[in-house]
Amino acid sequence: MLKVLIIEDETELALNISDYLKAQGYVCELAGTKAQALEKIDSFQYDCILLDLMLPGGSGLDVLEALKKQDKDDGVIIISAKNAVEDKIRGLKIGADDYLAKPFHLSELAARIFALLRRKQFNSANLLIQNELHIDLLAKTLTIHQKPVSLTKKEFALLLMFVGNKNRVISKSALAEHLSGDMADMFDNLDFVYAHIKNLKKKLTEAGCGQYLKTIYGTGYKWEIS
Amino acid sequence: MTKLLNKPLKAFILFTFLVLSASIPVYFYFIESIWMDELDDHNRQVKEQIRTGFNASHSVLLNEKIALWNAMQSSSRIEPVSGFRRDSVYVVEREMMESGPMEEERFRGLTSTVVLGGKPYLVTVETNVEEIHETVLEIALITGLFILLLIAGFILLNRRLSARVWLPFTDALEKLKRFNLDSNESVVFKETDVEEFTELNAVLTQLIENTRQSYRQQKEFTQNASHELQTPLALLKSKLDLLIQDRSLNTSQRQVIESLDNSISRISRINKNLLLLAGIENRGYESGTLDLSGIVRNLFDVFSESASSLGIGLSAAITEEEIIDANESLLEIMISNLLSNAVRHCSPKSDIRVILNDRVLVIDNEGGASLDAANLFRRFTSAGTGNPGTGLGLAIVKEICDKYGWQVAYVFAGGRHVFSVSFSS
Repeated sequence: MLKVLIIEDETELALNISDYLKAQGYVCELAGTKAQALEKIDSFQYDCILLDLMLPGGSGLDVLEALKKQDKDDGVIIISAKNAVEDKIRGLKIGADDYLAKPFHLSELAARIFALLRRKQFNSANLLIQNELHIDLLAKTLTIHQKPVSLTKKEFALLLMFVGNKNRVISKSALAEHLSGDMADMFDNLDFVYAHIKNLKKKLTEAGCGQYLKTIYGTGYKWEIS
Repeated sequence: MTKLLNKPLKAFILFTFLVLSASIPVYFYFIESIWMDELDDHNRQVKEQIRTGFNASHSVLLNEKIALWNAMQSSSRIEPVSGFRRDSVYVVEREMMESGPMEEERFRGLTSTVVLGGKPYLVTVETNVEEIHETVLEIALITGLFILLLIAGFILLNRRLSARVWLPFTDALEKLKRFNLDSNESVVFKETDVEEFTELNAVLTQLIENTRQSYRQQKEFTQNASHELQTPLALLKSKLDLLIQDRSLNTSQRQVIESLDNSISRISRINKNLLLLAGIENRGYESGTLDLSGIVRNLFDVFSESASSLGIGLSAAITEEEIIDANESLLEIMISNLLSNAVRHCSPKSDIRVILNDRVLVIDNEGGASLDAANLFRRFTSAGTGNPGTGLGLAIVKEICDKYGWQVAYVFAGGRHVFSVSFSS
């Protein structure tokens, strides 16, 4: 069981994150203040820590510094409403693994956590196997039935989003934001999403991959795999 | 437009002209009367000389002597008269024979009865006077000369003075012209010993400080408001993400959720852009030397994949090894905003061209009619209707360009929307 610590003072948001992650099979714990957060990281080991920067009692960066002093290698993803570049740069400098600006989609968060944990667990040979799919997360290549399938960057990014959220419904806007990354004004047009998904689906089908990618009418898509 | 100092100058010149012109008849009157007095004195002296001279000599041959006098003297005449007459002075103009060509000359005359040898004689003495028109002309000439001298002096002094006296003013004006609300450079005006300028500078300094402060407050407000919105938006998004997992939702409920999701995404984007816009000139965006060509190429690759999936062609001509000093994320945001703008407004099956050459980036795409160039870069003035954008993309482009002193421009030429950024500041 992978353990996730959610350091977030907005209780309801923390609960939503925890609900979503629990359904993915993670064990979640919550910390609402800096003091609680410090207490938790002192006593326990986590696979991943979600860290809000603005906490009652101090900055989340202090928590990050304390964690690094203890030489713990918990993965840390900063989740902050302060989309300030300085915070981002400082956080990554101190040792955070990723930075996700609020507001974010839970599916995006789950994909980031998934990628982070995969990186931490298998640094050298990061090969993800789902039935006939073999995804090399480091080399960013896909083979289906031992045959390489060439995907574009966007298609690969979509595939990662799906495998990081298997059996969950992902909204189109979450996919659009995932494709646009940091560039807020980039893919505000959902046509892109349709086009990329269509191409990905076609390539998967042609390679003889099972029909895992389902369209949920009026909502989005789902990667269904048992 | 006239210069401030030229306005009183005109009045001064006009006044000088009027006063000096009015002095011409006055001078003339005084000179004429001095002339006449002096000539009357002179004529009287001549008459006295005649009287004493002739009376001192013997009265023999008096008539011959008088005839001889009259023949020799042109300016005086002695004629016998029957009775005494009162002295009279007069002015006469007549033609003079002897001085070259015939000319009208003016004379001041005196007729007086004197007793020579016991008999009364009428003595007429006439002295040549300058003619009226000549006198007037000479006075006018001299006065005119002085008018010219004065005017020339005024203009010269004015020019010298305006350069020096107005120095603090022109300095302040120049500084105001270069004033930029976004920069934190303080504006320091030249010290001056002129009361009005000192006051003006004090007022301007105060005004600038107040403006800066309210501008800062406005930005802070935008940032704070956007920050405050982030958490409830995050909550909304996460709730929807949980809600769509529900298997019992029917199609119409899913459609409602989808439109909610789209609206929230849009609000989030607007909010992110507002935050970005308010914070562009903040510290934190550290500059570094960047490979402009590489960044343009990378973004081109990112966009061309998405564009080609929509049937839009993207072509590039990127000169290698263009280097620039800027913040990497800001530069990427700026270029990708221009690219996404082109993709968004590009009609299907048309093409977009990206050209980077000699520190100028040009991105153009086919279009029907010119966009509203005046308002294009302003916030929330999206040119097209049904625009899926946030209305902030180009405002952000402009803000980033302003930060680094790059020039961004839009023209509609040859049926294409052409956006260009010149990186040479």
